[in-house]
Amino acid sequence: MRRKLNKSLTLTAAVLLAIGMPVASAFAMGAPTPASVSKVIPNKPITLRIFTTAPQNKVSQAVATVFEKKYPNVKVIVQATDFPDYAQGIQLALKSSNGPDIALAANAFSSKNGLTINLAKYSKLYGWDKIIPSTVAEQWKVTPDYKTMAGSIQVALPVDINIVGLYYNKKLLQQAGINTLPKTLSELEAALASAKKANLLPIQMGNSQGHASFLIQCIGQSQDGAESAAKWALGVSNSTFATTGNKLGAQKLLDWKNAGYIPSDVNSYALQDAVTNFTQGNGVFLNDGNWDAGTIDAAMGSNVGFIPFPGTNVVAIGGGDAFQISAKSKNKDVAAAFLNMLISAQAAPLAWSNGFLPVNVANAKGTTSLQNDILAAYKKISNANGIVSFNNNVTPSMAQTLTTTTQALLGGQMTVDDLINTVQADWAKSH
Amino acid sequence: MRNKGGRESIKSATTFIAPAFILYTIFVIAPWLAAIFFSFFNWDGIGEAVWNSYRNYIQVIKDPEQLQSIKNSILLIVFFSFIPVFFGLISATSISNLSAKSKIAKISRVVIFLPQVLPLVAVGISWKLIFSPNGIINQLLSLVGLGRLEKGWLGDFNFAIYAIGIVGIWLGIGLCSLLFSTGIQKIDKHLYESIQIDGGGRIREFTSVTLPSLRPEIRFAITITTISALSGFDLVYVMTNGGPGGKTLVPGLEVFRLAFTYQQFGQACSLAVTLSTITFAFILSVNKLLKDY
Repeated sequence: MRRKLNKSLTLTAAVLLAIGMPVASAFAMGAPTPASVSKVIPNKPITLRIFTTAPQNKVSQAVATVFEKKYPNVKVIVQATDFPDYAQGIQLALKSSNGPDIALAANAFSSKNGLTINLAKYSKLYGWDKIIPSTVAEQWKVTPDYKTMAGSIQVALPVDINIVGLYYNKKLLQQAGINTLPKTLSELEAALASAKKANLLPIQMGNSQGHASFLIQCIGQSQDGAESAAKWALGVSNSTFATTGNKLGAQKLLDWKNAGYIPSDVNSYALQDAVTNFTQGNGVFLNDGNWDAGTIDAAMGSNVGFIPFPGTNVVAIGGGDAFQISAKSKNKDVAAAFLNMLISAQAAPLAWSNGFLPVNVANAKGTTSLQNDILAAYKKISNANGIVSFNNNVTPSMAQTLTTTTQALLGGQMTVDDLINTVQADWAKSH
Repeated sequence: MRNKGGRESIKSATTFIAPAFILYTIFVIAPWLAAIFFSFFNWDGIGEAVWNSYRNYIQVIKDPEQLQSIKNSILLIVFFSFIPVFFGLISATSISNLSAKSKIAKISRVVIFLPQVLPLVAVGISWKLIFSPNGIINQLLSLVGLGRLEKGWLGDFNFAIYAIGIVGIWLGIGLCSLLFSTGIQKIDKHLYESIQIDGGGRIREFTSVTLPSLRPEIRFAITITTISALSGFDLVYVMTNGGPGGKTLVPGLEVFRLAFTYQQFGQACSLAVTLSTITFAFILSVNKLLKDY
């Protein structure tokens, strides 16, 4: 009997081993903290591997060249993948024995199970908190259960900033008889009505991937204020999506669809289609982030401008690329030194020239009117401490939920209240 | 002596079967068993797995997103399987009525079968362009003065799933008609002659001879097209990514999302196991309904 039991236990163990099931996992929760941190780079041959996405890799590569010059014993290898594939593979890469030293964070929660280290000690050592705006930094600090942002574990260092605002076509604005740029929601609405009257498409938009949710968030947080909106977007418990601002945002989205202010077949267009259409003169406004500034600038030149989204509060949806240090890296001090260079004043022009707004904007100067508009908008928003994390990052499924619900709202399949409740239900599952 | 021969043949049979069997075990059976095993756990794919009993399976039915994906794929069976089988029968019969050497017969066969040799991703991209707001369908509509019917077909709640269905029909007809054409060639020509002697026409030939003789081919066609309808991923992923509002979401895509986006590997496996059970059940009933007498 005993022998039989032993045999079946052995068999079970063998089956579990065979299919690689980490039932009793060796991966602890939380992020390991290095015992000691140092600014000193050892004087021996070192290879630093960086996994990132295109087009961020251009900045990393440019900084790598400078870094290698400063530390000739260090060789930096930058490897890039497109974001969707990257996000799905990076955890396994970090878990593998030949993974990267530095990795672009897919999101704030993706490196749980101890895959990357807590950067808090390095942050203190280098004084990173003095450079990074707190509203951006807290998007990469999580609670020990990896479910809420604005926590104590610093999982990544943000290196550049994305802000979502309002692009406008200067010629079309004139054609619609709009002489001043809208500063409030009602001024924006009046401008949209004038554009419609002039037979122009007021707002260019694409929602096949859910980007109409930008409009809800922009209106919502400009009404509710950055502080309260950020709580929900960071996953702070007891927050709700059912705010006056968000309801107004969803209602305006629907009203503007019905009024013909946005394309009737908005669910068939992706954001990139909307960008292309906007650059071809189809649409007076475009609610989009500065990551498309390069494309828009190249196509429209001085005919395009950028402002923070009009509303009661000066706010913007904002985030950016952030880097993590692998728990398996043998050169964590070197990796930290590289991250420090990525956010240095020296690297800022390298980010800027590749279309990125560096976190270290002290010395950043635009070379085109659009770049200067974005810089001015960022400074205004930053001074008002108005950056709010992307709503779609708050849970792993939120991007999909926002896509599905905004499509349903615009397709007449869902009410404003249903949208608010469905979004809150997704949020409540994780927080 | 005889015994030895038997042992020899077992030995050689094992030698021949072993490589395929080992590969099949590693790449098909083991992952399949693993999926069944994982489906009972709460697991994010990297960290610790927690036993979750049958709750993942309850979630398959309770989660509107997963349930919707199953419903959609069952609707798609009509487009990927039944309609192509129907039109496949018509086209195969029509082509077989042409002289085998006629150019039209040859060209028709190639043209109808062509979609089958194209990669599905390429097919998806091409049809996405055709259905796009600036695509050829809308251009043709405005050309003939029906501009008011123009719309973004793949973003339309009422039409998107049928758009996927149309591509399914287009893909399936080729395979079905090729299968049925080969089947028809095996039918004894004397059977048709006897119908003609009895004064029966083309329709009588079809219902009394062609259709009953093609029973095995029809069974096979329904089986494989149903599998492709239920397990589809690439076409939907490329054309609509499940949109608008989950209207074209299929289980294959939902399994992918659950595993890699939502980080719910256990849940993904339970949906996958549910899907394979539905597929099995469907195929068994089709085979029972259409079994040979």
